[in-house]
Amino acid sequence: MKGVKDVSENELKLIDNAINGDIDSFEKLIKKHQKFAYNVALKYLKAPADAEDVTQEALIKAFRYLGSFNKESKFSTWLYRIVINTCKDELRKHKKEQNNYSLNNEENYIDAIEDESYEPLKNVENNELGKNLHKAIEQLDMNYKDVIILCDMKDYSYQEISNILEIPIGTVRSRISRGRKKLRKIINEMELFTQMNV
Amino acid sequence: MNCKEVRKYISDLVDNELDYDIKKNMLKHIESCSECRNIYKEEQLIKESINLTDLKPLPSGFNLRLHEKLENENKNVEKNNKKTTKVIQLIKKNKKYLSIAAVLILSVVLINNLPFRLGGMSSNDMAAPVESMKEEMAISDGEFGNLETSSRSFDMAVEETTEETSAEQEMVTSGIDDNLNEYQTGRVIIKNGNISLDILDLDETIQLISDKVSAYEGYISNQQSSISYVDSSGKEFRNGYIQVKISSEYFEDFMDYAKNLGRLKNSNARSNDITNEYRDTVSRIENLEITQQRLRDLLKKSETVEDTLQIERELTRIRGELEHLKGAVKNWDRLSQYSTVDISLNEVEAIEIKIQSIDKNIFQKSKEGLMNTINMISSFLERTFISLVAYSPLIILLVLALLFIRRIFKRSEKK
Repeated sequence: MKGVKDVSENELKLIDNAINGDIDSFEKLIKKHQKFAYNVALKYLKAPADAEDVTQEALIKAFRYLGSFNKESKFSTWLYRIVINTCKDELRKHKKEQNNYSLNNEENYIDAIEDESYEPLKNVENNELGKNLHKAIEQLDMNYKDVIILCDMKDYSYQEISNILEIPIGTVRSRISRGRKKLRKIINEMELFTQMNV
Repeated sequence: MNCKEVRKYISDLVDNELDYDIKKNMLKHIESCSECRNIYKEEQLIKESINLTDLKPLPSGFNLRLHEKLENENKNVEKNNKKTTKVIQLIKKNKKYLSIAAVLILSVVLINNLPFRLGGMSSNDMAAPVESMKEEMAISDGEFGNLETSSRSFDMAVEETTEETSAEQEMVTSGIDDNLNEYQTGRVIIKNGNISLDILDLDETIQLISDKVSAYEGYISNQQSSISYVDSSGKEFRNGYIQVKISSEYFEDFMDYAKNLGRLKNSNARSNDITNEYRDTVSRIENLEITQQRLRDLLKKSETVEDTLQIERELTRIRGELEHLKGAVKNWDRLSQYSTVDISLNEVEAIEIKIQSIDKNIFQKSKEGLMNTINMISSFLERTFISLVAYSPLIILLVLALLFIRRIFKRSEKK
C-alpha cells in the first residue's frame, strides 16, 4: 500500500461524479471498501444487523459529505475514518457496554506493561489459533481493536492509521505494541480454558 | 541492545516500521536470544493469522438497500437544493426592494427602541403608568368607600412594618451571637402556617387579629382586601388576606386563636427543621474565622511583597465566604425567630350554610356572565384597533413587499 499514489485518476473521476450526485460512480468507488467497512463494524457491534445499519449509515454520510473530502489524501483512509467514527457514535448512543475482557481495565493493563516476563503461546502450531484470534480480538479494548484491525487486516502503515484515527503516531505505536501483548495474553488464557474444558 | 529495548520495539519490527540500523541491531539480538525470538515469531504469527482471516461477506441485499438509501439521499439533496436555489433566486431578483424594505423595517425598530423618543413621547409614556395607577387607586377608593377604616389600618400596618423590620434587623444582628451559642443545644426550626376562614365582618376580624398580633410581639407584614361579589340587594362581600409575622414561641397559640375567628375552611402548619444545616454553616464560619486569624498573623510576619499579596488574596476570598455564610445564618435566624402565618378571610352572609334560592343565583350568574362577555368583546376590539394603528407602517411595508414578490412570480411564470 505504501508508495502508491494517494488518489488514482480513475478514483478522482469517480469522486467528482459522485459529488455531483452520481450514485453509480459512488457505488463503484466504495465497492472494494465496503466489505472491509462492514467487517470493521462487525468487530465493533457484533450483531450483523447493527453492523449493516452502521456501515450503510457511514457510507451515506460519506456520500453526503464527499464534497469535503480532501483529494490530497487517500480515499480509503477518509472512508474508514467515517466508518470507525460512526461505529463509536453508535456505541455511545446505545451506551452498550462492550463486553471487554476483564483484564482490559487500566490497572491490569499497567501491570501487563510492567510485567516483562514471557509466557510462550501454547499450541502455537495448532490451527486453534486462527479460530481463537477472532474471539480474542473481539475481547480487546476498543482502542486496541482499532489499531490492530487496521494494522494487521489492512496492512496500513502507522502513519496512515494515525490519519484514520486522528491520533498521534506515537499513540498508534504504543497501542499496537500493547494490543499485541494483550492478544497474546488473551489467547493464552483461552487455550488454558479450552484445555480445562477438555 | 538488551531484551527490554527489543521487546519495546518488537511490534514495530513486525510491522516493518523501523529504520534500517535499529532493525539490523534488533534482528541481531533476536538471533542470539531465544525468548525474544519466540515473542517475535508469535507476533508475526498473530499478524499473519489476522491478515489471513477471511472477511465476512456482506449480508445479502446489502447493495440493494444501500442503493435505495443513496437515492433517497439524492432526492433529499435535490429538494433542499431546489428550495434554497428558489429562495436565493428570489432574493437576487428583488435585492433592491428587499434591501429598501429591510432598511425601513430596521429604522422603524430602531426608532421605537431609541432611549430618547421623538416628539417628547417618552415623558408622556412615563407618566401614563403613574396616571393609570392613580386612576386605579381612585377607583378602588371609590369601591372601598365604606372601607376607609381598613385602608387606614393598612397604612398604619405598613408604617408598623417598616419600623418593625428595622427593629427586628437590629435584634437579629445583636442576637446572632446568642444564637450561635444557642445552636449547639436548641433546634433551629422555621415555622409557617396558613389558615383560610369564612367570617361575618372583615374589619372586625382584621382588628381582632392585629390586636392579638401586637400582644404576641408580632407584626402584620402584608394586608390586602377586595370585593368578592355584590349580592342582589346591593350588599357587598369582601375578601381579605393578611400575612402575619409572629414570634415563633407563640406560633401554636396564635394558630389556635386565629382558627376560631370564623368558620375554618382550611388550615395547615409546616415546620422545617434546619438545625443540621445551621450547625454546619456555623461551624464553617468558626473554622473560617480561625483561618482568617491565622492568615492575619502570617500577614504580619510576611516579608516579601509576593507573600503579602498572596495572603491578602486568600484573606479576601475568606472574607467573602464568611460574609456569605453569615448572611445565610442571619436569614435563618430571622426566619426561625419569626413564624409566618398567612390568613385568607372571606366575608359571608352567614356562618351557617344555608340554601340559597335557586332563581336568584341563576339570574345573578347569567348577569355576571353576560357582562363579562360584553367586557371581553369590547376589550378585544379595543386591543385589535390599537395594534392595527400601532403596526400600520409595518403592515404597509409587508403588503408592498408581498405585492412585489407576487408580481415577480407572475413575470417568471410568463417567461
